[in-house]
Amino acid sequence: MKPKRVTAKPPPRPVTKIDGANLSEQTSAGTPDDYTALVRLAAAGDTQALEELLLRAQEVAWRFSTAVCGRSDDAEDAMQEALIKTYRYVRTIREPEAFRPWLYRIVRNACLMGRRKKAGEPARLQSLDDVLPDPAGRRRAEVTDPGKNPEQLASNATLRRRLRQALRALPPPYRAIVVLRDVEGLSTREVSQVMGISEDNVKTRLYRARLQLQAALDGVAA
Amino acid sequence: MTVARRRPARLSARCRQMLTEISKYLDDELPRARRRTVERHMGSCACCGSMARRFRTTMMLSRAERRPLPRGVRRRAATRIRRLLRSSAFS
Repeated sequence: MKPKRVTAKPPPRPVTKIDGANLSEQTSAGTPDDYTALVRLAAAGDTQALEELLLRAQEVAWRFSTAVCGRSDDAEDAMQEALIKTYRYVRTIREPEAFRPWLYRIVRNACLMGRRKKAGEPARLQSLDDVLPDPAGRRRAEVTDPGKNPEQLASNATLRRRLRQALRALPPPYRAIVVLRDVEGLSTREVSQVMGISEDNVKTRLYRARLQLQAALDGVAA
Repeated sequence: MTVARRRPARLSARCRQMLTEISKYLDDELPRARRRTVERHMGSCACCGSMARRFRTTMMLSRAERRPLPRGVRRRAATRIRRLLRSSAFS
């Protein structure tokens, strides 16, 4: 089938020139619209847009792999995979709007493949049942109010370290959902597309994961 | 001077039910009418108000994890791109 023609639009912000020594230190997570505009430009032959897109693809792959798979060599493999597949995909793009979930799906698959090869997981996976109320409501969730505003808390190094530990302790599918939704900023719909589960399922898992992360932060924030 | 330690509040059955709603509320994924109900509840219930603040903190901390590539990784990424574009120019 012939790819649909795409129309180039101006990008929402200047495109970073790919130069190893002079690249901006800013993260280029990007909004869905950023990606759509970049994909359109790249498909229309704009080299700078293509370079920016390829850089973002690798950045996404690195962040997701290190957060979810937890190994730097897996991350490099996932980056390579994201680079090649994005390069090929852009040439035959049909729906620029679908690029972002597509990219995260590629990265997730690359990450899963790497993990299967090495059959590695964190030493201990804490059960979410440890912190969730049971159906009869007998299990209690203890609540402590940290009593500080969120901005202060976000700058607290101890809290951030504890959050990373708690993220690593989440079962991988839950970890992936938190990373996609809360770290990467995908919509619930995009997360459901990446993970291949319903939106309701995403919301439920996200809530459970957040509850577990909060339980881990309580000891620090109280 | 004695410092009184704040005891953790125990969640009531109603509040336990509210938790999923609070998570959706913070994601802006509730219909308007349900949103108002949750807001009213959080305003009158110290426990759920606290939960909402803590959920929000967790989300903010998570967002702060979206970090740029370390310099070395970024350099390698840029090199890969240049190599790919150079090789494809001749293919």
